[in-house]
Amino acid sequence: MNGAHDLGGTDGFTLPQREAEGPVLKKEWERLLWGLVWSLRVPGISRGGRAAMEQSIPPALYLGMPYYARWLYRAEQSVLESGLVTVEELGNPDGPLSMPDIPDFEPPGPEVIVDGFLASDFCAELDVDLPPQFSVGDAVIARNEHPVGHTRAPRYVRGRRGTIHRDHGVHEFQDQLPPGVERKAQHLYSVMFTGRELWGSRGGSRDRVYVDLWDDHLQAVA
Amino acid sequence: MADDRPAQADYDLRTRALVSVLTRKGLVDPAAMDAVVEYHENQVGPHIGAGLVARSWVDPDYRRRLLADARAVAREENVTGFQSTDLVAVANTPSVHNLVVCTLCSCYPWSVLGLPPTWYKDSAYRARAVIEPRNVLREFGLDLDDEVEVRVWDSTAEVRYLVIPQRPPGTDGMSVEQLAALVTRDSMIGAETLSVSGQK
Repeated sequence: MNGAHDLGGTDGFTLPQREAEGPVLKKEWERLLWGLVWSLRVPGISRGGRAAMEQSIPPALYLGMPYYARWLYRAEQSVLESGLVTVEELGNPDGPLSMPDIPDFEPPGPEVIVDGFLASDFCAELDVDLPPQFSVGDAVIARNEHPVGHTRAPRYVRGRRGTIHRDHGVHEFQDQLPPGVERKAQHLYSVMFTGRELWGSRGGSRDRVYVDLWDDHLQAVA
Repeated sequence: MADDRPAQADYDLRTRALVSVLTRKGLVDPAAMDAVVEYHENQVGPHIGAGLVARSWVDPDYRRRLLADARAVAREENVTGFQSTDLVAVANTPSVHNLVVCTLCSCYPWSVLGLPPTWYKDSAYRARAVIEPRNVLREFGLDLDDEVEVRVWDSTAEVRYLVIPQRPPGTDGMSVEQLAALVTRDSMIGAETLSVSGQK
């Protein structure tokens, strides 16, 4: 979707100062929230489309929100949408609660969350033998598509010509698909675009931008 | 249905309400919440990436393998982690400077750098790094020669990028541990270069 999150190439923002290294969860609510979003592992909670949920934040709200406020927004949305919590309960957190009935559910403890999840050897590349549609060095065009759902093809590359730089192997396609369409694994590539191709005369003649795109985002140059 | 929730911008109240309700309902274990924060604040961090970088400076074979398949090298060293295992390392040279960004959100190689700094997540950085990387770097204090090629890596998928900065001059004879102490977080994103005098 052409949301406010798709920021590449937008002018008018002032760059902040780089801050010194150190703890990055600076406020107490950020620490609480961060712990919560990774510890909440309830079956049936809407977790698919988390990125899509963030990107559906109204643009004016999105741009005014600090980073962790976006996590808070989607944490609230996901528990409300899955019916685990009501708006009334969030408005009166010390008041009466309807207790959920989830058979055999125990909230996972520290070992399950940290060792079994956060620190696990998670790998997005799939062990699937699938022929790539493109080879390193191929000239490609990022398809000029503007889907209403979540997409990983940023606006600034659409319709632009690039070159396959690296094949990352087979990955699950992350774009939101229409209902009933099966999610299919496909090759993911690092695609190189020149600054001039992306930004015209404003692009640096020695600037290159590498964007990760899937087979379905690309078409061969005729 | 009355919405009695705190105002949108009252992040502290909203977070406390959410945590309180979910904890009282038995849906989340507070000990797990504490452990997540402890893990991200103390276990993972730029010291991990710095170790990989320093070793790549002294061991050409290691450097070759890191650039060819950083994920395999990370696994050998038990550097794993959710969302960051598909790791690609890119090396700065006298003629090439690499810079990492995520224009769509704030994807970042957590397993080797920890959680991202505020500037990395800022709209300004996400917006400008791809269109005017040299201006961004100049504002960050790094004035690149016009002849240097700038490669910007936009992390739009599940692959995470680690920049291997150039080894600073004047570091001959240093141990891997001494070298690792010179490697800053921002240099591994590409926002600065390293020098011995600018030790962190």
